Amino acid sequence: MKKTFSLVGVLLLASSTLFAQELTLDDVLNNYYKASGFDKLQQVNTIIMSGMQTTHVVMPAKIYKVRPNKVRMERDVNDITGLTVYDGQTGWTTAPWSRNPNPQIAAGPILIDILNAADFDGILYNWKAKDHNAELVGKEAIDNTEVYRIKFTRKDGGIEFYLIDSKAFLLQRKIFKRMVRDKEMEVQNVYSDYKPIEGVMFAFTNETLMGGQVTSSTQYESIEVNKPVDDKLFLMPAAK
Amino acid sequence: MNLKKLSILVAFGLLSAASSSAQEILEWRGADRSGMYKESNLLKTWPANGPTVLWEAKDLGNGYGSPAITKKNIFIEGEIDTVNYLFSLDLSGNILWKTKIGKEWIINYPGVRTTPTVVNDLIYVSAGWGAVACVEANTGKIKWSVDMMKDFHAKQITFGFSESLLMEDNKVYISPGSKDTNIVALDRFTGKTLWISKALGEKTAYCSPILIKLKARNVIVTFSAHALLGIDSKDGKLLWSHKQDSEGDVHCNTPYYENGYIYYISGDGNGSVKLKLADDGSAITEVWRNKKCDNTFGAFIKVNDYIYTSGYEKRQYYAVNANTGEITDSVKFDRGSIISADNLLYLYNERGQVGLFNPNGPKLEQISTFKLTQGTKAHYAHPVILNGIMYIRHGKSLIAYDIKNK
Repeated sequence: MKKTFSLVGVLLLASSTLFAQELTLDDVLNNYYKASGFDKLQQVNTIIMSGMQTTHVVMPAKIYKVRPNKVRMERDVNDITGLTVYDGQTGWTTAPWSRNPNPQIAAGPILIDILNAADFDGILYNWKAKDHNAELVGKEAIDNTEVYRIKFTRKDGGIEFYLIDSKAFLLQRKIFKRMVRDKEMEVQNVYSDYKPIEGVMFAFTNETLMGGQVTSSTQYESIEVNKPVDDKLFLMPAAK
Repeated sequence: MNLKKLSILVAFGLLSAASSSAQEILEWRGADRSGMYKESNLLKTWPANGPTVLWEAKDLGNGYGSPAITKKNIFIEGEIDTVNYLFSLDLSGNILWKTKIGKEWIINYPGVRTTPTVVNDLIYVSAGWGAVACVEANTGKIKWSVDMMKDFHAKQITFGFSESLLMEDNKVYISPGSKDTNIVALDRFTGKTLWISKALGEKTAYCSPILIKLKARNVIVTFSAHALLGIDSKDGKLLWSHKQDSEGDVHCNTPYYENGYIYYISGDGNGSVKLKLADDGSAITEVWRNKKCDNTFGAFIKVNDYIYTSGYEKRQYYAVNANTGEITDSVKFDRGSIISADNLLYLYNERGQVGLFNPNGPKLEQISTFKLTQGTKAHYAHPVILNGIMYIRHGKSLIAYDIKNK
């Protein structure tokens, strides 16, 4: 009988130790995939997100994504629509508010951002096969939420940090650096207001912070999946 | 002819003259440009999805200007391929004709900024690059036109010319905003220049003026780049000016006059301001100003002792005590335009939400709201209410809502 109690005690101790053990990178990411509905996302071939972007003014914003890697982001500046597009092979942008109506081929950090956005499942999914590197840095509290911090080194050498909520296992924040007017600045994308669409969790609010200040906030009013998207939307127009 | 017959004829002649010169002016923000529409028996609450949509007129070109509505027609301007067109619609939203007015502004916020002014059978319009025209309401034929850039060496401004034209008797006023032609009066029947006011010689400032009618004189009140101006409408003499303390030169909001006081709000200038106007209109005295209440182009409404408007830096609507300038309430409803009718306030914000609010003195109380889903681009136009119908322009579309209480 004494032996039996000792055995139970050992098992309980072992079990509690196991629970107290910190999760590994794979544990965190697997929980993240599960919570985000990545299995359902595999059945999604198109995403259309429509909303409003607030900077000093409020302007419409729209994103079209087509599996595996096409993206078209429409953003208005001064009520004039500019495009950021990856057609599966080439990234290009337009900024007609700059009085240049012609498309420009994207390169450098802009192209990196476009490629990130074009990755239909997101950069964190299947990261090993994409030749990226990831490392679980630790746990921390941000805005009273406990998060796992993952240091992510892209195959091009760029470093990004992803903060995943330790309870809900949804992406809470992405942190990276960009050159702004010849000065390196930390940029944070903060994701919130998650809602499920066809079993996939989408952040309906995305805030961008630079130097700790909110520089823009996008609220999506509708997110639709598997709706037809015209392939012509991704074609680079001829110069005028 | 005996004296009795003569007096009858004279009296008849006077009567018919009075009748023919009686002006019904349909213009920017309704009667006196106040944003207050004399309507009654309107819905006191709205369904969750908003009032019934009667119709939507599409393909009206880009723009932020509101419609001017007569008993038979709706007149509205829109930009198509860089050209400003004046459209005539019937009251069901069908396009009857469109007339080319001139080059429209497309460098930023592309589209028409102005609202036509209709006086009887003539329409007065202006375009973003300075074209001003008088158009026959029935046919769309241009009666006369001037080019502020060419004819009055107007100086272009950052966001394009945005003035909805002010009328007075036989005059139409324009604001070229050059050193020697700050404000100009034209004969509204011929387009001929009547007087030129140098005023402060500043650029124009996007403002659609008001006319204050006093015993001693009539005073045009408008903004130039760095000051509010008071100008004698008889001869263009600058009576007074109220300097703006900031470097800003965007003063879109039409001032408001009531019982001896001028109210204006310029977020790019002095904020909210109350001025006492001398009885003869020749001078002003500042009563208060409030920098925090900083609306830039959504206008404001005064109901009794309170002013209702939105902020600019802070995306919320305010109630302001008109006697002291103090903010008495703030309501989170983003920022945008405001009009009133039937003792209610109609708010249309930059997120496309339309709100029905109760102006309860120091409090601003939300009653109903809905999201406008039709149309294109930014939500900047000011709504119009006439005969129980609320008209909202959103880019290329004009949407008519039935807000009659049945």
